[in-house]
This record gives sequence, C-alpha cells and structure tokens, in this order.
Amino acid sequence: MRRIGSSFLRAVLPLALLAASAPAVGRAQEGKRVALVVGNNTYPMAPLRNAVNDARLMDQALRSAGFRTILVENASKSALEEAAAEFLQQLGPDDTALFFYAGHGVQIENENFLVPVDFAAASSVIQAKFRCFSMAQLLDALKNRPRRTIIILDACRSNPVAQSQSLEAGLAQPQNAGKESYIAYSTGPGQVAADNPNGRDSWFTEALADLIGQKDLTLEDVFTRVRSRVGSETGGKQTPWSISSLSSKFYFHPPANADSEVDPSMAEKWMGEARLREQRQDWAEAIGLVEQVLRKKPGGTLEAMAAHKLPYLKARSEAEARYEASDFAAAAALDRQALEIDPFALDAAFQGVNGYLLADRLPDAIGLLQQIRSRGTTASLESANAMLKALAEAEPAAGKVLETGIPQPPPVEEVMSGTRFHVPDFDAGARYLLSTPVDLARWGKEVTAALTPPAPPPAPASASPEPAEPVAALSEAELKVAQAFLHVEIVPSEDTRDIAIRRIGGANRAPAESGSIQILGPKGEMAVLMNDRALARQVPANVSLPVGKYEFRTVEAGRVLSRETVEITAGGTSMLTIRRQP
Amino acid sequence: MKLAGTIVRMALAAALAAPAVAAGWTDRGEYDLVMGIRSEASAQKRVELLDRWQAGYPRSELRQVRRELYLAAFEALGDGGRMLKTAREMLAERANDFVGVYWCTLLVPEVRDAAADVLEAGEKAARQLLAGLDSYFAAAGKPAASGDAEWQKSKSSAALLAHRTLGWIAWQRGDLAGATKEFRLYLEQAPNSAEIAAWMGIVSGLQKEPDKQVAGLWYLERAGALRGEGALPDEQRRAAGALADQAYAAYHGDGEGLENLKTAVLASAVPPPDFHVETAAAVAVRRADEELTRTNPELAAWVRIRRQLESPEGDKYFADLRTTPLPRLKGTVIRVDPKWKPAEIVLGISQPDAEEVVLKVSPPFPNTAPAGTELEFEGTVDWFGKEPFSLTVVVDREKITGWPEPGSRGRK
Repeated sequence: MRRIGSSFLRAVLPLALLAASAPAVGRAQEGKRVALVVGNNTYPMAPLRNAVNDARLMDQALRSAGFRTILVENASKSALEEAAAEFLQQLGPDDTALFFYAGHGVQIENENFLVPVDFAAASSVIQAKFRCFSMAQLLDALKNRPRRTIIILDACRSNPVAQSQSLEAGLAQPQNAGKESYIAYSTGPGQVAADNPNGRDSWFTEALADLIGQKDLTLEDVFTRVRSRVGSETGGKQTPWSISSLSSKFYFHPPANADSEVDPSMAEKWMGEARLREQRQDWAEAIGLVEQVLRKKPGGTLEAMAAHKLPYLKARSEAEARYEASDFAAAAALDRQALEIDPFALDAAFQGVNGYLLADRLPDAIGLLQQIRSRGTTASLESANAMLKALAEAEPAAGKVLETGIPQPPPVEEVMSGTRFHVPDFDAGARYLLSTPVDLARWGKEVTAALTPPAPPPAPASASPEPAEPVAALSEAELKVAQAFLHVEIVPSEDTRDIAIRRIGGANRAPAESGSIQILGPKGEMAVLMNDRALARQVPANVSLPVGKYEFRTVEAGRVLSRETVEITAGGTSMLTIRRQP
Repeated sequence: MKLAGTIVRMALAAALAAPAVAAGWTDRGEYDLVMGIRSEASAQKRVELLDRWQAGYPRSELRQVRRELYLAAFEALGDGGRMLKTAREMLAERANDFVGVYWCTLLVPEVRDAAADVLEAGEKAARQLLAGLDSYFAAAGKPAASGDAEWQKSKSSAALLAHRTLGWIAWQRGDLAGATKEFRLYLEQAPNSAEIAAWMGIVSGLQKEPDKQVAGLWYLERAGALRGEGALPDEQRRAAGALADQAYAAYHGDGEGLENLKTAVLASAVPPPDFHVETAAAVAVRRADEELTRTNPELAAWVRIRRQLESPEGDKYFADLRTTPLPRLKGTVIRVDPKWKPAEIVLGISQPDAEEVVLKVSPPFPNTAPAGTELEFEGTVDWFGKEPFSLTVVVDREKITGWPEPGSRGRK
C-alpha cells in the first residue's frame, strides 16, 4: 500500500470533511429543568421575615425534582438582572424553565414589577418602574425559548413600598404570558397575602414545597392542593391563583409509568426525538431515547425500527469517540459498520472515508466512496467523484471506480427501508386512535338533555299559561293523583323556555303573545297539567298558552305513552286529539 | 495513461449528463428529493420536502408512495384532517387501495367532520374494507416482518374499525338504530371497548324508547367503569364516569341505585334483559304513592287499583279482582239512580266530581242521598270500562256506611 503525502491529504480531506459534516447541526442541551429562585427580605423600608427562607425551601424542593437551580438571596436590581441573564442562557428549546420569586412586588399601570432590595424611593411612577425588575420583560424573554415556562410569584404581600409610591398592592393578571406557560400567584390578582408571622415560611411556599416533593402529582394537582391547604390555613382569606396554557401534563416527580399512562403515543414521540438528535449527531441523547422506546416495548414497526436503529447509533457514537481519540482506523471501521446497518447513511460513509484517509487506508476509503456512488444523491455523487478523481492520482483503483459509471438509484422501497408500503401501518393506526381522546363533552349535554324532562318554564305573570277556563287549584293530593293517572302534560320546548327566560331577564318585557289549543280526547278523563298546575281537570279542554313550541305528552304512572309537538301561534287556535294508545 | 485519464473524464461526463434511473424514478432529481425526505427527522420539514416533490413531479409513478409518506408525516404531526385528505386522494386514484381504505375508515370519525361528502367517503371506505377483508389480508400479502397471528389480529382489528366507522356515520346521519347495530357488532367482538360502550350509551340515550334510554345508562356507566385493556385513558374515563352519573341522575332523579349499577356493568358488555331504571317521574309517583299510603290509605288503595285496571294488563287484573273483595274504600256521591229508592250510586273517589265507581246496591236504599255525601263501602267488582273509566261494584247495602238516615236531608 502506498502512503499518501501531506499535499494529497490537504487536497482530499477538506472534501471528505465537508461531505461528512453536511447534515450535522449544532448540539443543544435538551430536556433540562432549570429554575431561577429569588428571595428578598432586606428591604430598608419594609423588611420581610420569610422570603429568603421561602426561596431556600423552594430551591431544595426543586433540586430534589431534578431542577438545576440558580438561587439568589436579597437581590439588588443588577443582581436580579444578572441572574435572569444566566437563567435564560441555560435554557434550550426542550427545557422546562421555572422562576420562583418571594419578596415584594407591585403592579404599575397593570404591569407586574418585582422590587429589588436596593429599591430607593422614587419621585414618579415612571422612575419607580425603572427601579424595579419587570416581569413583562422576563416573560418576553422566555417566550418560545424553553418548551414550557412555570412562573411562581409569592409577591403579593402587604406592601409599604407600594404604599409609599401610591401604587396598587398585589399583582396584576399577566398580560403577555406566552404559549406553554403556567403562572401562579400566592393569592388572586389585586389581592394581598400575609407573610405568616408565626412561621419560617409563607403559607403558600410551605404548602408548595411540600407538595412539589410528593410523587405522582401533576403541576395542576400540586396547585389545586396548595389552594386548598392555604385556603384552610388562612381561614379562606388567601386563595392562591394560577393560569395555564400548558398543553401537556408536567410532573415534578412523575410516576414510574407516567408517560404511558398520560400519552399512549409517547414511544413514537421519543423515536421522533431520537431522529432529531441523530440528525444533530447527538448520539448519546439519541441512544438514550431509543433505549427508552425499547424498554417500553411498543411492538410492531416502531419497536422494529428502534431495534434496528440502536446498533447504528452506538456504532456512530463509538466512531465519534474513536475519531476524537485520533484512532482513525477504528473510527472508520465503526462508521463502515454503521453503513452496513443503514446503507443510505451517507454522512457515516463520508465520515468513514475521512477516517480511512487519515489512517492511510486508501482502498478502504475507495470502497466506501464506491458505496456512496451506488446510493448517493447527486451532490454526494459529485463529492465522491471529485474525491475519487483526486485519489486516482495516487491510487489507480479510484480511477477504475470512476470508469464504471454511475449506478442506477435503488428503488424507493429500499431507500425508505423503515417504511412499509402498500400495507397500512396498523401500529400507527392504533396509536392514532389511542392518542385521540373520546369526545364525550360534545355529546354529554345532548344525551343528558334527552334523558331529562325539560325543566318547567319560569312562572312570571306574562309568561305563564293562562287557562281559558279558570281551574280551581288542585290540592297536593289531587295533583298527585292526577299525575299518577293517565294525564296530558304540556312541556315547553327549549326555545320556548329560552324566550320566557329572556323575557324575565328584561330583554323583552312586553306581555307575551298567546294562542290557544283545543285538546280533545276520551271524555271525562285526563287532567291537563303543566308545571305542576292543572290547566284543565279533564279533556276536552281549551287551553291558552304563550306562543312557542310545546310537547304534549300522554303520561301514565311516570311513563310517557305518546308525544306530539305543537306550535302555538299568536292569536291562533290549534287542535290536538289525545289518544290513550299512541 | 493520458488516454485513460481522458476516457475516465469522458465516462464521468457522460454519466453525469445522462444519469441512469431505476423504474419508478422520473430522474435522479426525484431520487435526490426522496433521499432528502429520508434523512429529515422533522415531520414538518418532511412535509415541506414532500410538497416540493409533489410540485416538481406531480404525475410521478411514485405518487401513491408519496401519499403514503405524506400520511406518515401528517400522522407524526397529529394532523388528522390532512391525513384524511391524503387518504381520499389515494382512493380517488385507486378505489380499493388498502392504505387509503384503512386510513379513510379510521379517520372519518376522528376528524369530526360530519359533512355529507366526508361521511359518504367514510362509509364507502369502511364497506370496502369489510368486503375486501379476505383479499387484503390474504396470506400472500402478509409483510415478511409480520407473524401469522399478528396478521390475523390486524384483520380482526380492521373489521372492528369498519363497524366503528359505520356506526359513527349512521349516528351522524341521525340513524341511531343503524348506529346501535354497528356498535353492537363491535361489542360482540370486543366487549371491553370503553370507547364503543360510551358511543353506544350516547346513541341509546338519544333514542326515545325508554328501554333504549335505560340501556344507554348501562353502556355509559360501563364506559366509565372499565379498566385495563380497552379502557379509556384516565382523564377520559373520569369524564365518561361523570357523564354517566349525570345521565343517570337526569333519568332517575337522583343517585339512588347508582353504586349497584357501577358494579353490575362490569359483569357484562350489554345490559341484562331485566335491566330497569325507574324514571324520575316514576320515582316521584312511587314516593307519592308511599306518602299517600301513609296519609290516606283508602285513596292510595284506590289509586293502585285504578292504575292497574288502566294498564295494558287491566283485563287480567280485573279478572283477578273479581275473585276477591275490594278493600274498604271512600267515595263521594255524585248522583243516584233512581233518585228515590236508589239501586245505583255513582261515586267519585279520586276527585269528588269525577265519575269513577258505580255501586250496585242490594237491596236498594229506601231514601236518597244528596250529591257530596261521603260513603265508605266494601264490595266485589262486577264490570269495568276503560274509556271512559268506570268500575261497577256490587255492594250489600249493609256494607255501606255514611248513607243518610231516612228523613234526614243534610249531608252526613
């Protein structure tokens, strides 16, 4: 074998490196939990007792929940800004960001500001704004940065700082919370919380830190319980408040099988994430995710794909490690191994070429270039051809490869080897069905309404039915008897009820227009009832009703034997014959 | 050597100028696009690349394959609407395309679009899936990676899917009986499907017949109670349970008996033949009866007798009633016949002025009684008519109390 000179390497290696690195993008820190925790006690004007303790307690609770925390105590404005910058810098697109603040806060012109310990009395509201830390700015900076943002402000205390500047106590509703955010206050917007004069920590933070430490609780669960606990400890004077735009559940301490319980398509999502990591050549993360998929045993094509992908990723990961250790031959052999698993992994092929060239193993490099030519895209073909052309100067075999011409591209089924064509992906179908919630809410109202007799209408004078012939009010016993026997029951349709309700509500206080209906049937039988009133003791009867639609039911012992809907028109007379048997 | 170099260069130039392509590819540019799609991890970007492929090669031989790739990408994005559109395009191209038929069947209920054309497409696909089950799932078509059992399981699941969709479509069209039929077929094969139990509960509850409404309560409760395979995810299970409880309370008036029902529904996918839940109105009547029995036992006894006489089994009840004496009843005289020495007395029992009972008195009274006179009597029934209601009772004069003494003019 001929050794290749340095001038040759200078000519070929840049090509190989360029081709090998083309698909790679920068690595990112993924899926972290990062928290900025601030507690301010030492206000010259209005010191607090518990805020620093609160921050320490939260710091501890969050660290136990896997958060990387930045704890700042008694922060000046500049310290707050620096900590916020550090916090933001640590956040990646898949991370969870949590900001906790205990101390004084104010709302200025409906915006929330946190008061640093070096706050000096300001001569104007505008000056006060500039001397405080703007929550709006922090929320803006957090928008679209992490996957989800959790903001917890225990800053609603009775506040001499606010009083001195004639500012409003309590916090305002957040105006610019981004998507995927959860914002919680220790009490409702505009309200003031107490500092728990008898304890080390505020009631709110004490409850929160305790509940964060409990397993299997979602973020919503945690705050529901915090609300309940704080409410009972303060005799209902303080009710923590929160607002959420999170689209998925978040656990501080997830249950062992939380993902599978919460999201049946989680394995597919992990696989998708793994592919993204692979594309970024973040092998360790990709391997971790694929192993997670395999541990979940999703079965079918997904599991087969994961099982196929794992050795490939491991080979690539190991190849990178060997390469960085300058063990180029071993690195190239591992890249070749990866290529055998996935013959279309052109970046692995180019990386292998690169390794073989650095290891001075020209024929192996040419072998890989030949493989690239058989499956490569036009761009990779051109790169491979250019490299072969350059190599041909030193190694005639390279020229021979060039002479063979360009092979036909393989069929699409081979290119998309992980995809099964012409037969449905039943696993994907099953996953799709599992991940689509049953839409019961849409039908719940309708089915409940179908099972419920419509409520009787309200009985204002204008909306009440007025019998044509006055009927003496039935005694309770008489009414019960009438209801027990075969009788006619008039039930207004929902529309008619709505009209009546609107009329009572004042939308239309004009007297209701009415019409009448002649109800015929077996003589001497069947009382006509409506709203527990007898409109007629027996049929035939002429009954006057406000205009609208009504259902006339023949009812016996609670069983509806027949129904008929009749519309009563203004001034009109309808006729209805009731029969015992429908 | 120089010549060889020239040949190589010529060969290379020729190869690049007229690249060879395998059957299926329009040209190498199309292959490049697909290779880009292959290596793209982001589903959104895969869709963009597929769009580029579609725009550049609209009539490609691989267009059906492209649609399958679209399906996979949209599936990763959770975009059921575009998946359904793609599946329908596949069926427009080839009406019995297995992939198109499967996804169209699956997605029509999922996208919750009840437009007539969507329902029609779904029905066509579901019927095609059922009709073509044997050919779609023929052994020859089994993918190498699938085992025989897995292949058979997929076949059964596909059949269930078709019934699910046909039921859904019937439901959306207001054909609740048709929906019930399809869901019943589903539950026969997969009794533990909480989703179909919930749907069955809704379509049953929406029907007017009381027996179907009661069955609806069973299915809804079962949807909320099922655990394990086929159960709804926790959140939906809780929602189903809440809906079921709400529906039960709406129907029955309160939660009485609900706990028993929750236990019972776990035993069977369908309600037993004797399953019954009282309506709120029936409960009110029952409770009123109980109250009446306590406060006015004679009237309560009469209410029970008249109700049974008026029921569809009234004739049979009357035959039984003839063999036993009536309990002591109270009534109010409406009129007597003949006025002097009356042998027939017409009474109202439920209401003082509603003619209900005719007493045939033997021997006749020697004197009359004015309307409004309250009597108590014991006797045996002789005749009854339903329309208008009238019950004739034969009474021994001695068994009547409250009749005015001869010479007396006022009410007793």
